[in-house]
Amino acid sequence: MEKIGLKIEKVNKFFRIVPAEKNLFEDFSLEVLPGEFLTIFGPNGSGKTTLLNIISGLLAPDAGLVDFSNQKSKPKISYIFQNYRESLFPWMKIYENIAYPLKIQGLSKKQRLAKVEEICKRFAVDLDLEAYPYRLSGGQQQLVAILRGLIDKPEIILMDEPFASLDYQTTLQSEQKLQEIWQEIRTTTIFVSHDLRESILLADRIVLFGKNKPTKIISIVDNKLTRPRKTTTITSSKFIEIEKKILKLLED
Amino acid sequence: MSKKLDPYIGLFLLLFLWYLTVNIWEPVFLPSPLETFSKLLELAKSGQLLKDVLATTYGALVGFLSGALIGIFLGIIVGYFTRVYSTFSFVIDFFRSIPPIALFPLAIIFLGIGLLPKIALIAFAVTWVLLINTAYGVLYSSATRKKAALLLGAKGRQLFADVLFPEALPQIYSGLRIAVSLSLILMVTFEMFFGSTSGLGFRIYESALTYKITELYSYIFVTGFLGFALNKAVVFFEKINLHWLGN
Repeated sequence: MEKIGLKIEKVNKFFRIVPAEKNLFEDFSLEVLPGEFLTIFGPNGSGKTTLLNIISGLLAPDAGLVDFSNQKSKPKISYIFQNYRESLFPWMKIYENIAYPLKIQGLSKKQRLAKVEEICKRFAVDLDLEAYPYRLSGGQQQLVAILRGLIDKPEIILMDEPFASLDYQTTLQSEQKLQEIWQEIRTTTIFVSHDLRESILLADRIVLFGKNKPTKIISIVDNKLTRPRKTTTITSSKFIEIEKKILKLLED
Repeated sequence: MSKKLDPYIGLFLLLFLWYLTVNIWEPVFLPSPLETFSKLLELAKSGQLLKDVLATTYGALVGFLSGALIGIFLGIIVGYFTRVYSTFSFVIDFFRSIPPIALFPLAIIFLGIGLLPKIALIAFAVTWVLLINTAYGVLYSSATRKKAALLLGAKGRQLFADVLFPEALPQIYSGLRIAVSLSLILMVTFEMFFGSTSGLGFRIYESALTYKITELYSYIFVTGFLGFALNKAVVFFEKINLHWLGN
């Protein structure tokens, strides 16, 4: 499948923030390359989620546009939220949750179950498909949300701090699983995070957002570390080098 | 001792207190528990009691179910389209403030005497309770979940059936529990005062007028038990449908 990139061009987003009215984005531009894993690292309130909402079409920019390369119509975009408890449907079984996009398309229960089993096998995921979300751990629930986002083969994946509400160890495991899955699909991904370690570990490029308004990109840092990156990669000298470089950029 | 026995201990204490009261003060208008229950048995054996219980239950349940269906349907619409709510909030608040009993004379004029006006007014009362509860359930549903469903492509009927309705279900159930009790209260009241020839309300009123005190207590006891059973039935379905809640 051909990879889709996107260009955010001169986007403006105005927000009424008491007491001052401010522009969150003013002529904001960013290019996301086809098939890359891009992380956006920035402080709270810097507009990371707003940017994902604009890309997904949930929110319209006040000016500017999002241009999807090589595409006549809007590509299939999947969005994975931070709060899996609120994004999954607790009244549906695991397989019903994962296959919900297929239900909307009118696939029968049998077809859906087959597709879910297929995706679980493909990514070596072991889940009790007949269970309800509350029977699963936080990490597993977020994995369900990710699988739901992947089952319809999206062309762009947006992830809004998906592991922020998991404990440290589960986060490490989830990052490994995400990398495994991503190695396999290589779909253009924009991953928002306020965790620097995570932003570096997962990314091909890290976009650094500043804390002043309107939000500006401080810098875009390349990460050419070989994949798959293990938990031990974090302590490697090359990783630390990138981390130092970013911290220096943030200080200036 | 197991905590499971606690409710039975409470029941036993109540019966014992009743027994003591009767034996110590010998009040004229309070028969003993034994007298009451043997009367109850006698009424049950004659078949009359079952007929009355069925009549009351039928009226209350038909009114309850039809009102619930209408209320839930309208509630989802009102909760989803906030403009509809702001447009009709005054009308809704006004109509749900009218005591349904006050409308009974009007109901008789339009629907005649018999079961129909009773059921219609119970449905009327239940509709408002469910409308408000459902609307709030939808209104305060998780914005993230709604967003997720929309992004996954859900719209129209699917969005309502798969997301908005289950999301509002906890609120709907708290409405149903209130409404089922309300239905019984109204049905018994209507039977007492508005041209009935059967039903628990009619029997209660009739036995009071004719000073059949033991019968009166028996019917009150059965009515209380019926209310209890209806409530438990709703809770039973609630536990099945909302097993995912709070986990």
